[in-house]
Amino acid sequence: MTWVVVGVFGALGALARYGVSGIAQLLWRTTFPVGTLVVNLTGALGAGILLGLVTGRDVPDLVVAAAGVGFLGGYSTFSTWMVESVLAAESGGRIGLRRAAENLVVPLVAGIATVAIGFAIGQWL
Amino acid sequence: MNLSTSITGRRRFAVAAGGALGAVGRALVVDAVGRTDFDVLWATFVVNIVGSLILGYVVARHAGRSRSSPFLIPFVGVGVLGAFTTFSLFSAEVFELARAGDWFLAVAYPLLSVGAGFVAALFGVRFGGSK
Repeated sequence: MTWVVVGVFGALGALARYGVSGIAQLLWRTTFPVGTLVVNLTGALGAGILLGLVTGRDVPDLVVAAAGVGFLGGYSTFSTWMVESVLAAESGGRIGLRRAAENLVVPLVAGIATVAIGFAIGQWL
Repeated sequence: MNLSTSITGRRRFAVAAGGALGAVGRALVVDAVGRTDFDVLWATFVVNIVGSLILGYVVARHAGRSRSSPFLIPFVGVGVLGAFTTFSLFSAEVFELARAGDWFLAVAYPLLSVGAGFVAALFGVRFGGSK
């Protein structure tokens, strides 16, 4: 049962990522992979809220499996973040390396900070 | 029937089907590695690094070929590998380490993940790009 739930919510998460990152990339029109950043930060906010909600409360495992392991896990992505950073570095020269460094550091720091904000919201809810 | 919307629909289906496989695959790895918080941490680490390596390979391989399927990247890249690897759960794990006061791992785990992930993706891109 848990596997089916993870699969279904993983599929929904991946679809949502496909839609949201496409729209974000269209709206901003920049060489910076902003689509992946928007998806990953909203995913981190969701993970923080979920963590804040379940901490100190009795929440069924299936809910965590659906929302956390399935949807948020499928929605956010680590591999695309890494490959986009490599492609930025390979785009050439010092500018490429700077872009790669920015694309590694900004999401990493912002992601953890966003989880903290989400956690506070989840605890308050 | 509009052909372009049909292709868009099939791309979405490829993303969803791949996403289901990727998410279940990640859950299987976590399950196989163990149940303690520390086990889950390393399961996420392995999943993220392996996923980055394979995605680098697939993207570079696909870029070099004009006749590869238009569904390859939506299915394998966006779907399977996008959902297999995870940024939100990774970030939440770092936050939990910091909250538990485990400052060594709270610093070492994200640095190691990003460092190893970047090197793995670089290997994948180089390997996939070589003719």
